[in-house]
This record gives sequence, C-alpha cells and structure tokens, in this order.
Amino acid sequence: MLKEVKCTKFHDDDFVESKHGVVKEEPLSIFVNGRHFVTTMISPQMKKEFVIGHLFSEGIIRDVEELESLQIEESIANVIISSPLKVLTAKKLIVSGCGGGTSFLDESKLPEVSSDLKIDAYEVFEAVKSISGSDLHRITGGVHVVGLFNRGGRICISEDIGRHNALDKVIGYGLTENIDFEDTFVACTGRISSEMALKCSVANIPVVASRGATTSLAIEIAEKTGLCIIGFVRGERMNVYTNGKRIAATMPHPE
Amino acid sequence: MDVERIRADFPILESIIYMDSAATSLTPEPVLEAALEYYREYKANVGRGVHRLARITSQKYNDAHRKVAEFICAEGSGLIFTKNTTEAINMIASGLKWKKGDRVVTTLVEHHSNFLPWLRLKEKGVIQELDIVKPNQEGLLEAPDFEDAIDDRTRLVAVTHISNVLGTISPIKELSAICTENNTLLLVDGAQSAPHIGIDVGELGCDFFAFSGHKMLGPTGTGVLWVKDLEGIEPSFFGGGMIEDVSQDNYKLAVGYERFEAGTPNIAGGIGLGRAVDYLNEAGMAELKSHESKLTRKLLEGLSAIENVHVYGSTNLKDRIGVVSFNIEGVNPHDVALMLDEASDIMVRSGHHCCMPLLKYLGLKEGTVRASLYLYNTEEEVDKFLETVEEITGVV
Repeated sequence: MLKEVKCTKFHDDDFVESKHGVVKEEPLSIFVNGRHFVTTMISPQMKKEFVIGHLFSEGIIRDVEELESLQIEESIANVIISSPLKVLTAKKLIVSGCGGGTSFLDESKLPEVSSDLKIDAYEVFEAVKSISGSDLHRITGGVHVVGLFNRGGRICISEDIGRHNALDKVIGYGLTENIDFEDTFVACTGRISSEMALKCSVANIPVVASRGATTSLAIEIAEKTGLCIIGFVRGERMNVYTNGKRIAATMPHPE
Repeated sequence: MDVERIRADFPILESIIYMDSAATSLTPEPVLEAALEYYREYKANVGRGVHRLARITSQKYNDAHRKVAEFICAEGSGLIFTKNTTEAINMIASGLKWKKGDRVVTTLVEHHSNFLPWLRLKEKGVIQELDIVKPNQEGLLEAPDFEDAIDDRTRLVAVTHISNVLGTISPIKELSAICTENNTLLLVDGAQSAPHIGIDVGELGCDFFAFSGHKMLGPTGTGVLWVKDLEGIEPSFFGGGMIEDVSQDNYKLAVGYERFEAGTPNIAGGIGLGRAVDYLNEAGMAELKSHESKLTRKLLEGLSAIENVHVYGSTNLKDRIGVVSFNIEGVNPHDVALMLDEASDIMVRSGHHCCMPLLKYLGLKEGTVRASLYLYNTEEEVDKFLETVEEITGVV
C-alpha cells in the first residue's frame, strides 16, 4: 500500500533532497465473460472484494452466487457470471467518480432502502473517529478510508486512493461474508457524492456518514431511496441531511 | 442427501436399474448441460487466445482443474487431466526417470491398467524386476507383505486404493509409511476410491494419484493424474500448448499442468468433470458414503443368504465398498448378467473385470458377476436385485 519515493522538499528558502511515503496506485482491468468491462486505478489490496463489490454496485451481479468464477492475476481480474454471454449494455450514467469515470447505475430505477436500523449519535461519532486514525492516511495523506459498521461495532475497514473503490471493497467484503447490509452503516473520509449515495442505496446500507461534505445530487438521490446522509461529523457535531429518523440524539458517550 | 431428487437428474433410471458404476457411472443432467453449454455458447480452444470465448473457455477449464484438485485436497499445480486412469498410470510409467536396476512392486489385485504398464517395463528391460504382492484369503492386501517385497532397489510401489473386483480397501496410509522409510515412490490407483470415499492425497501420503472422471459422474474421456512433484516426471507427449518457449534447437516446458497436456485437451469433458465434482460436493461425500454403505450391507447380507451363491472378498463393511463380486454355482457369470437384464432390467458387469491375474489366482476361470453401487441406487433396487438373483438360482 505504501511506497517510499524520492522527493525534493522546499524548506527554509531552499530545496532539500528528501523522501516521502506515497500510496500505491495500480490499474486493475476487469473482464466479465471474456469482455473488457472496466479498468480502474485502485490501491492494490482487497482486490477480490473490490471486484465483487464493484460488479454488485454496478448491477452486474445481484449476489455472490451469480459469480461463477473469479481469477485475479496481477492487473487483470477475469470474471465469469452465470450466463456466459450476458451482454453488458446497461444504460451508462456519467457520475463524478474520481477513478471510475462511468457507472452503469440507472438513476431512473433507483432502489429503495429497506431497513429498520436506528442508531445513536455517539455511534456515528465513534465510527467516524475510528476510521480517521489510519496510519496510511496519516503518512501519505493520500487515501480514503471507508468502514462498514453495525451496532456491534466494526465489520470491515478498507483504504484506497478512491472513495468509491474503498466503498466497493467493504461492500464486496460484506457480500462474501454474507453480511446483512440492512443492519449496517458506513463511515467514510471523503465527500459523499451521488455515486457514494447510489452505491449505499443499491447495497441497502441505510446510513452513510463522513467527516466531509455532501452534494445536492447525493441528497436528491438519498431522499428518493431512503438513505440517511450525515456530513461534517467532527468532534460531537454533525449535519444530518436526509432521513434523520434513523439517528437518535442519544448522548453522552457510554464510556 | 436426497436420493429421490438426485435420481431426477438421471432420467434413464426410470427404466433400468444401474449397478455397473464401477465400470462407468451414469451422468447427471447438470454435467451434460455444462458440457453442452461449452459447445453451444462459448466453444474455443484453451491457452493463449485473447478473444472473448478463448478467455471464458480457458478460465472454465482452469477452474475445473482447481475444483478437482480441491476435491482430493491437492495443493499446488500438479493436477493433470488425462483421458482416463490408464493413461494417467502410463504417463508415470513412461515419465519417471528410471535408473538401471530399478524394481517396481505391485499387487495381484490390480486392474490391468496398473499392471500391464509395469509388466511391459520389465519386458523392455527398463526395470529389472516386478515384485507382486498377493492378497490374503479375504482379498485384502496386508502392509507387512509390502515390507517383505520392498528392498533398496524398489523405485516405485504401484497399488490400487480399492479393488475393482472385490471392493476391498488397501492399507494406503501404512503403505505410505513403509514407502517413506524405504525412500520409495508410491502410486495409488484411485479409480474405485475417488468416486466413493473422500480423498485427501496429503493424508494418504502418496506421490501419484490416478483416477477416472467418468466413474464419478463426469463425461467419458476424462481422467486425472495428480503428481506431488511435477519436476519428478517427464511429459509423455510433446506438441502444442505445453511450452513456454521454442527455438530451432531448444524448448522450455510450461510451468504448470499444461506441460503434461500437449495438444487440444478434452475441454468439454474437463469442464463437465468440474461440474461433476460440484455435484458430488453438493450431495456430500460423507452422506454418499454412508448411503452406499447401508446399501452394501443389505446387498452382502442378502446375497450371502441365498443358497448356491458365493460372495468374494471381505464381508466386513469397514474393509470394503459397494463393489460386490459373486457367482451362482453352476452358472456362467455372463449368463447371470444377461438374465438380470432380461428379467429385471438390471445392469451388472460380468467376466474378468480387466483383472485376470487376480481371478486366476482365486481360481475363477469364468470370472464373476459384479454389482456396483453409487449414490443414485436405492434399497428398493437392491431388493429387486436380490429377488432376481434368488429367482435365477431357483431356475437353474
């Protein structure tokens, strides 16, 4: 995940030869039923989870059962899904993904989040706090962190150069581990964009919270799907933008 | 294991009783579909092709290897698809780097496929001697007899896991310890074991394990050779698909199983075999074993109770599986098999079962009748079989 590189630092009116840790970025090409589906730039860990999560959020598979085969060799992931010649011609929607570019999610067919989950405000604070302390994040300043939680605590944390990739990784993990997403919530480091909101809604994850901001389109989508978006979770403050019924004002922290 | 549901995948069972699975098993619909799907929907050659169909085919064919390897708990890349067990064993006979003075130990219980390759090596002078271990009165091989047969010139012990005539199980783990002690390679013919009892090649402690896909619900023309150390044997066939690099005067072999699968392999068969393994896993090998064991008990007890019927091999269920040889006094085994078919649509094997040395040793010139069971057989079928055998003894 981390690579030490040479760099020249400008310091005290002068250039100094130095070193710095940067986050690894590599291409991964996904072939579905022998056809090139997408090439994304990702951080090279949890590749399997990424592929599964990505195919799921793009609507290519509905569950892991539909994934007949997955072989990953370095920068190529070969996937076979149940129907060998299923043609991939879903309607493309351009979103603001910083690594992905295109998405096959169809905004006119938004999913509906079906969940009774209610969580307490301090659980949101705890979750966001727990993903903010990553070493890699601290050293490189170049990764996003996404965590999948339930009321019992942390299920899985992933790091990636892209927020969307990191979210796909935790979704992929949840699918392979047979996690019921309706009982979970997501905490992340970056902006909650429309694509983040869509991915959570498709997976039936009812709450997404971030230290960062959100966008107008993400809020529009969340209003339609029933997703609860929480932004600017800092210290003991937060902005709840949609579906606030899922968050109870319960404080203080149990410790 | 839901036998009725399983039987629905073998429509032929509506009209016959099949008790010849030791020769070749029936093939369930999902396996046929997998093979047909290859031909209909994505047929391509395996290997280096880059088009869509070549990618799908190569991945499915690789997956089939992985599934079969997992089925016998094999690690690494030493799982090779062959035509059948015979080809697999011959690949060892011709692929081992023999040294002057090497000896081979085999047994009298062997199928011809694990006997003739060694006999021929002796005839050609490749090995110096073929030492043959004999079974005891119950048809069982005993580990101490191997200790006597093996000496410091013994290069290989080639032994069946389960006899295809008597259904008796060989003491492979004990044998493995003896082989390790004597620094001797161990080849196990698993043609009758892999379909019926869960296999863990690591636990068995062998160097080579050969078996047939077509006896375990796979298509015909499928067999498997597992090799612990791929570098220990040389390929028997040379040509397409098995190299890394070729120049005018040199070649470099491919790294994995590919080096032993020269030319276009049986792709549909291999993919079908992968599906067959899925099918067996879905049924559950432990449940399959206990189902067959229950039927075997019934079959053995029933046959033993019929006058003028002689059953061969151990009757102890822990020493054997549902491959049962018998004779009706005074009747040629082929006639019994014909009568079983004519009277009750029951298919059994008769004759020498490609195991002439054993039958000669047992003094059974005409051979035996052999009924062999699998997951799709039922108690009712065993009852029908016993009834018919009894009728035949009454008529003659």
